[in-house]
Amino acid sequence: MPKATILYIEDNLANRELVKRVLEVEGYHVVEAEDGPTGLRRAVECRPDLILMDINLPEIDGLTLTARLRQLDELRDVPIVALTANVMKGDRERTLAAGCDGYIRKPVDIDELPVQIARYLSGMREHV
Amino acid sequence: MRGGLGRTLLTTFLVLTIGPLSLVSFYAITRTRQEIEQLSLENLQAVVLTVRSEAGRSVERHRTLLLRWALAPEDVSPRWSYWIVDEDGRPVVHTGGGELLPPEDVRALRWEEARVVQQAGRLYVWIGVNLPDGRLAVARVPAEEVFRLPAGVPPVATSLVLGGRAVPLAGAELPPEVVEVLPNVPVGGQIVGRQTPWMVVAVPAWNGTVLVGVQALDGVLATSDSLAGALIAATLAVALLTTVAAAIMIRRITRPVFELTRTAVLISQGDLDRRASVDRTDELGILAFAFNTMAERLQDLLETLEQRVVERTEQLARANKLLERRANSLELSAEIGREIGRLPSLQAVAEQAVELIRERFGFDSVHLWLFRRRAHNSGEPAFEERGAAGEPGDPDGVARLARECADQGGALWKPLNGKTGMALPLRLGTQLIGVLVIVSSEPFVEGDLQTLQVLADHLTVAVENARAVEMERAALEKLQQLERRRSAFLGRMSHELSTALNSIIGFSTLLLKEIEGPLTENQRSDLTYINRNGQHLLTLLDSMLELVDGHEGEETPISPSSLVQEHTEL
Repeated sequence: MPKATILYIEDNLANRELVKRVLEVEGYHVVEAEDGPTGLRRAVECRPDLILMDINLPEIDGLTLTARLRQLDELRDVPIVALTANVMKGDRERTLAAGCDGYIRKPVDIDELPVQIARYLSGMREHV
Repeated sequence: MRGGLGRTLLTTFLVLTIGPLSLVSFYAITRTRQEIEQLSLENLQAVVLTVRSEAGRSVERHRTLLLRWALAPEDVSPRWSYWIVDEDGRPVVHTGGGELLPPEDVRALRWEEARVVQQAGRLYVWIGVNLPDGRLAVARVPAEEVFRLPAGVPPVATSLVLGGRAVPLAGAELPPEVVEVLPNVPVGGQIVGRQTPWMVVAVPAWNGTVLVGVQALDGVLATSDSLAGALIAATLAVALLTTVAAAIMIRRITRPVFELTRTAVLISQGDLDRRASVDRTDELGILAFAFNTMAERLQDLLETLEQRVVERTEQLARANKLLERRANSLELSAEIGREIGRLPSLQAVAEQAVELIRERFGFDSVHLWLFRRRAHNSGEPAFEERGAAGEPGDPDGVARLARECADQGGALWKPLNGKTGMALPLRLGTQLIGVLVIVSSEPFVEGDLQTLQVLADHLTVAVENARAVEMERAALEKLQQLERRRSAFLGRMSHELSTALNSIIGFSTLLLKEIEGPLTENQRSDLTYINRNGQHLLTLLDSMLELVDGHEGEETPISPSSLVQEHTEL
């Protein structure tokens, strides 16, 4: 059975490479996008099962992007997980309030990452 | 209008002079009378005693005559009844009429001096004389003969009292009240009767009979009465004279008093022109003078009273207006102070304050000049007009006034182009922060200066408050800006660092997992160092971010002071 498709929106090449490698080892199909607009396009094109998104994107802020993604009917039930280096007071709340279903701290723990992805795919949601 | 002062004085005078005078006169008269009575009584006594002694001598004379007859009857022709009686008392010889006494009474005549007997309604004195032959001669003489009043004596009515009854001897008939008393006249005599007083004196005669002499007192008292009359007349005359004199003297007093009274009454009834005419130099004259002066002043006062009332009312109205104006001004000042106090910025305060003042007080123009706080750049004036309202007829004049006030440090006002300009210093303690210039076409009155100074003080406070608020806000702004920059920097830093670390740790882990292929021991060791150091850096980054965790992401405004506090704690 083919594993899920994951859309990964991240502007940093190194990060993209790393996460893609880790997820592909797990057997996921990874679609990359290097910025917000691209991300939106790819999301519509490939209808991912999960969207992994870096909050600190150029041009468009990750949370705004989340809102935009959520506006699309097709992506209504797709879990959006934020990757963020800011795990400060209030960041968590803001992230979840913007429409994300969860977040993963950066730098990514490559052992943990697959486990968390699997959890989100199986329907786990973080709540505010 | 005569109040009886004169009468009172006169009556008092009369009582005071006539009273004692009358008392003294009365006393004198009474004493005189008493003495006269006493004297008269003594005189009567003397008279009666004389009559008695004369009676004794008369009896002796009769006895001698009796003896002569008895011895030689033919030689003597007796006038009275003579007897010669024997030892038993029986008559032997008898001449003259009459009845002989009973023998025992006759015998008693041997040794008695005399004997008074009443026979046939008449009084007789029986006298006896012993004859040598042992017989007794007796004579009967009418009592009137024996008891005779001496000549040259005032008339005395004599009576003999025997057997408890008085038998008149001589003299006028006596009134019954006197006759009643006669039998019991005390020694020394007494005075009987009220209307016609009688003196009664009693002297013992023979054989228990009493010779009584009665004399009317009026005759005797006539002189005393006339003396009394004269005295009374004199007293009355004196009284009359003194009354007249007193009346004249009193009049000297009451007439001016009356004049004053009359004048006072007339004035009180409304005739204000009246004055008392008293031409004297004593107290009454002074009183009249003072009275006239008083009347003059009263007239003056009453005539100008209305005018004074009007003046006073005007005065009060003016004072009232001033007070009202003052109160209004102070109220306005407070209101303005409140309103200005609410304004947020210094410029707003300056502009609105002058407008508000001008509008509320109705001045022609109001200008606020302030000193700049900080050291100024060249080109920026230190002292300038920050707010102006209204039409300044003479802006240069206003500026001059403001500068002059700033130099002097005290309030001053000057004429300014036909209007009045007032400059009030805005003082904060000893420091002068500015000047408020007011131009008004209406003149300022006393009290305005204080009121407007109060306003200026309010303004000073408002200006200072606005400045303080602005400064605080600027400081806050700055601190917030710093905070934002810092958190932005930290955010960027943490992002960059974590991204780099992501690669370091991630790829080294990936390699270590031998997903890319097997590793030699050395390769494994090298990669382990890389990985571990990367982890270490991550830990450091985490702890660093934890330290500033409290501020990152907070957007609620914080006071600079709390920021400073926290920073110093850090």
